[in-house]
Amino acid sequence: MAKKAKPAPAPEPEKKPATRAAKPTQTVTAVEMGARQREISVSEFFTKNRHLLGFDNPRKALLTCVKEAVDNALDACEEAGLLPDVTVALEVVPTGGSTPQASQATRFRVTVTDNGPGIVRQHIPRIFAKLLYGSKFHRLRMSRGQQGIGISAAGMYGQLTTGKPVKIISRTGPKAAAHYFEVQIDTKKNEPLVHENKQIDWDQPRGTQVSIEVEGRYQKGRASVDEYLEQTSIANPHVRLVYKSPDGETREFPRTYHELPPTPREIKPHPYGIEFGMLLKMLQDTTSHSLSGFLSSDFCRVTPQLADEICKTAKVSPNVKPRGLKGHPAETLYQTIQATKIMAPPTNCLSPIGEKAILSGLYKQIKGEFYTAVSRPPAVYRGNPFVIEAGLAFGHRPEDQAKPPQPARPKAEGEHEEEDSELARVIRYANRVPLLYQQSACATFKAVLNTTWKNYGMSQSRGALPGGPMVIFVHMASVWVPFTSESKEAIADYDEIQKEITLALRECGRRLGLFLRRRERAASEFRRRHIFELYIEEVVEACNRLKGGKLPTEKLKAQLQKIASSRTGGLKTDEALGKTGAGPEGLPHSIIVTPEGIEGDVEVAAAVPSVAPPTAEAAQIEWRDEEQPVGTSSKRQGRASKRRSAPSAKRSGKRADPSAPRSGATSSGQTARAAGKTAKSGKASIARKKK
Amino acid sequence: MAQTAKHKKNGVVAKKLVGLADLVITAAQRSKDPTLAIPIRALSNVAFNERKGMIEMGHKKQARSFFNIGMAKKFMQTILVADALSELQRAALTTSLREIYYRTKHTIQDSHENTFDTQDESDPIIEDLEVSLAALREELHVRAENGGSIVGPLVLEDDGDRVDCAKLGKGGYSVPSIVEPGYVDIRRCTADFVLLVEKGTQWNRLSEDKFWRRYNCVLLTGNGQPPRGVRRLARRLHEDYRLPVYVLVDNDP
Repeated sequence: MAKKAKPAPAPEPEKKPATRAAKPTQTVTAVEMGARQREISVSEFFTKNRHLLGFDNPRKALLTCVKEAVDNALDACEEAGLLPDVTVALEVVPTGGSTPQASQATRFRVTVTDNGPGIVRQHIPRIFAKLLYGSKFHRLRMSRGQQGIGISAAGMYGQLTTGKPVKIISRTGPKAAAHYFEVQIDTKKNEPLVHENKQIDWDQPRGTQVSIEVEGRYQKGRASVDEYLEQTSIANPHVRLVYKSPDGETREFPRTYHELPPTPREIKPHPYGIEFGMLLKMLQDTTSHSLSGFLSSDFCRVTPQLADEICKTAKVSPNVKPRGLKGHPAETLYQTIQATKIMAPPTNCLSPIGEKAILSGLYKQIKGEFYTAVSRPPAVYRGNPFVIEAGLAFGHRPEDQAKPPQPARPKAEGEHEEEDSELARVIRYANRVPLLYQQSACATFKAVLNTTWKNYGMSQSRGALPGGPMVIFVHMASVWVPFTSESKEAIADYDEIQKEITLALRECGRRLGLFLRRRERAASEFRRRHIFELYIEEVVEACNRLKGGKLPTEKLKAQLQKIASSRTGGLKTDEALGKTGAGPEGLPHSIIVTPEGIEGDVEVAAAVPSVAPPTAEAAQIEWRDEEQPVGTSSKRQGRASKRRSAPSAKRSGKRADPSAPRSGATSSGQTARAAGKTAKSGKASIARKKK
Repeated sequence: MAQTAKHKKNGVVAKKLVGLADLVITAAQRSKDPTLAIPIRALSNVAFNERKGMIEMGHKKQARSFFNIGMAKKFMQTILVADALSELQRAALTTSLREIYYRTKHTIQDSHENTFDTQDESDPIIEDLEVSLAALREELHVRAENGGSIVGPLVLEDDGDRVDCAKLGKGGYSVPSIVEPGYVDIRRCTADFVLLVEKGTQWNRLSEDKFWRRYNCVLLTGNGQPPRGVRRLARRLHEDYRLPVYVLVDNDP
């Protein structure tokens, strides 16, 4: 019965719109609509769109909370010139009266404690409970945090999921009192609500502690809190991190580099980096009374002369009041600025990690045989200076090779390529902060894919990461890292950035290729030596029988073995194979290549002429000289002068090459020029002789 | 007297073989690569000596050094063969190429590699030693299989036995590999010429028909390509008894 009845009401919806259209009373008037318009608070916006800030799922949310707190702690310590000492504690919060296991728990308390400068009492509520409040947005200077959203968003997420306020303890020095705050955010107004404010006793003389209770999920593996801290420790070897995991384990990432990175300077915006609207705003806000004064004082790299020149070209008086400049003349001014040649922005606003620190970080956390690091010279995108650094750790340590492969573990969200043993791993950083999500959207990852690793002795299938036990480290340091979203997960793909990353990766690749080739050669020498050693036994026995058994066989064997090892590269072979047991700088089984040259076995490196072709040329000149000892006197004179300078050119080439950083091209250029000079001087001497 | 000459010569060859060991030892003491010089046996290194009426080897030599990955194994094999030959010298025994191969073949300690894999590897090494030590294979106490037959008015002495080649029926005397004076001596020869027959069957035919009796000649065959013994015997008959040597061949290369 019911089934039969159903088809009947079907025509009804068709009628309904018609009846509605007929009734004008149901429409909304403009006035009513206007009344509905309301301002949206940032907090409300981000409460709804929390995925933009990295709170899309519980696992990621937990990581984001830790990340924001740690980033703030490190920024504060570095700005105050203190070697950071950060403790991260994750505790399971009991739900429903029982404390579940770490992997089953849904609520965690994230507590991050630092030894930083502390925060002045008045600022605490707004720093932790007001979105878009911070010290880092308006200045152009390299720092981990940029927007002033992070920690307050984490607090907001905690408030949203658990209803608990953010708890803060801060102390600015041993003489000052420690303040305890409990704050929440008023999402409607984007203003802090202080629940509790008192002075307490705290055992730490100085520093800040933030404690947020959030809903989350703890799972080890890729893109986990553990991995984040591990990678942070790689890029920040000057930080001592203590991690108390929810399982109750305490892990310490020791400090391996005892120098604070140089404090980056704050810079003014570069004229190339601003948009027209921005210029208009700056014209309004400036304190300068004249246009030329505005140009030279509010921008970097604009001298008073250059400012006058710009005004002249734009046909605007340099003495006009900046606030009076509007409309068409302002637009001409903007276009003129963009067309004028202005020096690249200063780079002292950046604080790259540095090759040595990257090496020590990689060495500490990643077990490999070969490490290398490259810092590119600063470059500019959209008027923002940036530095790209790349590092590479390759291979297994012998003790790891012996271990059986680890049992497969379940994949976690954010994992893209799991075959750890098969494909290389890319670890990405922006201003020393590890980026764990959205790998494939990141300029870094694309640059790794676009590098032809096959040229450096690695396997790589089309459109994939290179194969092999390798970790690729890429860091971008900039006053303004162009992230693809507010949650800071991927670097936007600017051509300038991509180019720099590619260049850095290539340099790393070249060094890796050198290392691999050298190791391969050593291995083949070793095979040869093994063959000789086998035959030596036979030959010695046969000789002994020939001599009627009266031969000191051991002595002969030792003599022959000595020849065999010297014929097969001698000790270098052993060293390259790691058979001598000692590595460079006491690091076993690893060869560290830095721009200062190859630490460990420099002789082997010097024997490889692949870096400076002109060196080979110089060597050839020498050789030719030796081959033809007799010649006419004038010729001999010319050649002699060549000979005198050739070895020096060779030597300088060799020396210049490892000492000058990234000097592949420059040093070879120098040597080429030197060789040219030599040739000229040789000719000159011939001419003199003829006269 | 022939016996003493034989012993003297043997002593020289034995010394030469031991000399190879000395070469290795001195090179090792001086930290040099032990190297043997082996005359090249190729068409490019032979010339016809008109005065002697022989094809002679030239002076081109090939170096065989131990510490060269391409030659190391051959060098080792050479020393092994030299050792085996020197043992034969001491024991005053002869043996065949095949046995030299078996004597020297073994698996190298701690590996899966054999010193020799086939006889093709050891045979050229014996030749190498022959030419580099300027000793005949027979002097190195290596003999080939008996090959070839001889019949005719000829009396030989082999190991003290008198062999009258005219009284050996149609089968004749089987020519040993070593026909040097001291091993095989020609006591009497009354033939007018030597007829070297290429084909064994032709020789059989002529032998059955007693051709040698009718024409007073020595009938010799090498059963196809003649072995060293037959060649050397023909030469001895030619040189010692001034017999002309006629050759019956089909001239089919």
